[in-house]
Amino acid sequence: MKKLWIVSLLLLINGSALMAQKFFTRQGTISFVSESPLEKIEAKNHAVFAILDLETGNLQFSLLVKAFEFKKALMQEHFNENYMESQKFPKAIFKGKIDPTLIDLSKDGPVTVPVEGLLTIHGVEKEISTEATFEIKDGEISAKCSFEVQVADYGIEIPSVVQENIAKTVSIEVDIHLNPYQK
Amino acid sequence: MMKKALLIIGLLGLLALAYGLYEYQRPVGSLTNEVANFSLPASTFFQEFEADENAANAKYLDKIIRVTGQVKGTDFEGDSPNIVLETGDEMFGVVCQLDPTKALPTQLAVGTTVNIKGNCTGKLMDVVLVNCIIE
Repeated sequence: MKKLWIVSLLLLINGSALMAQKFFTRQGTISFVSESPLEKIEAKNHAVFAILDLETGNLQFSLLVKAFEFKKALMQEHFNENYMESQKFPKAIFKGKIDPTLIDLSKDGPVTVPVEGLLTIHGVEKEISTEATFEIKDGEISAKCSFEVQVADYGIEIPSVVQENIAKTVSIEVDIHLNPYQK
Repeated sequence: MMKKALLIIGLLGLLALAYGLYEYQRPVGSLTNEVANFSLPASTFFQEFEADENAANAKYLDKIIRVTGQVKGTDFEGDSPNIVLETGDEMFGVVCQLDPTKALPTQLAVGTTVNIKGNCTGKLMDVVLVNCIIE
């Protein structure tokens, strides 16, 4: 009887250790596009740090604004100096949650998952709610997500001179591949 | 007299326009010919951010940093090839995103000591340098 107790206790501990898995990447990609009649502005950031805790469903992204790559140097400079003020606000962060029961590591294939959380850009925090497509393959997780933000919502001021060049709504695309976090 | 003046003004105007267009189209430059603002070991660089991130940001953001360190790992697959340098921290290091216009090193073994020059963008968990060149 005692043996059964110990065995089941051990199984329980092992089981939860397996479930309490964290996944992370330091090379996630986030890109954004601002499309106006006069100009298309786009940039990519390949150094996005993301961590997903399958036990709690906590999903967190952070990126360095200065790591956004533009094709034109002038755009990159204006983006950092005038719009994002990245010297003052070097990071953009997302702290959110998903329903972890929707992610089944043993089942290869795509699954659409609602994502909710706080997005902080330019020092301003806003609640966002969107959907991401998670893809499970061989115990690894990839995720893709597209959503839009209103530039003005984050206190980003667009001078009237360039109103026609910069869209009020910017499309953001997230593309990450997460690996199990091994300590 | 008038015609000559107009011609000169027109020419200056064209030059200004040409310069404007050049500036507008200018891509982000490579760091090959740029002199580093700071030159230090990767571990010291990382430690400064760990100790006081605000002070390190004020000192290093946007500057050209030349770091020396041992290769902790490399990732040459995918969109953004990079080299991670050892800092003494168990998990995190200095991530050096390589200049996409330069050829990738064919081989870089873990533990090799390298000198890398790049632009500092700050610290997430690792400290991140972009537009990096291996010297």
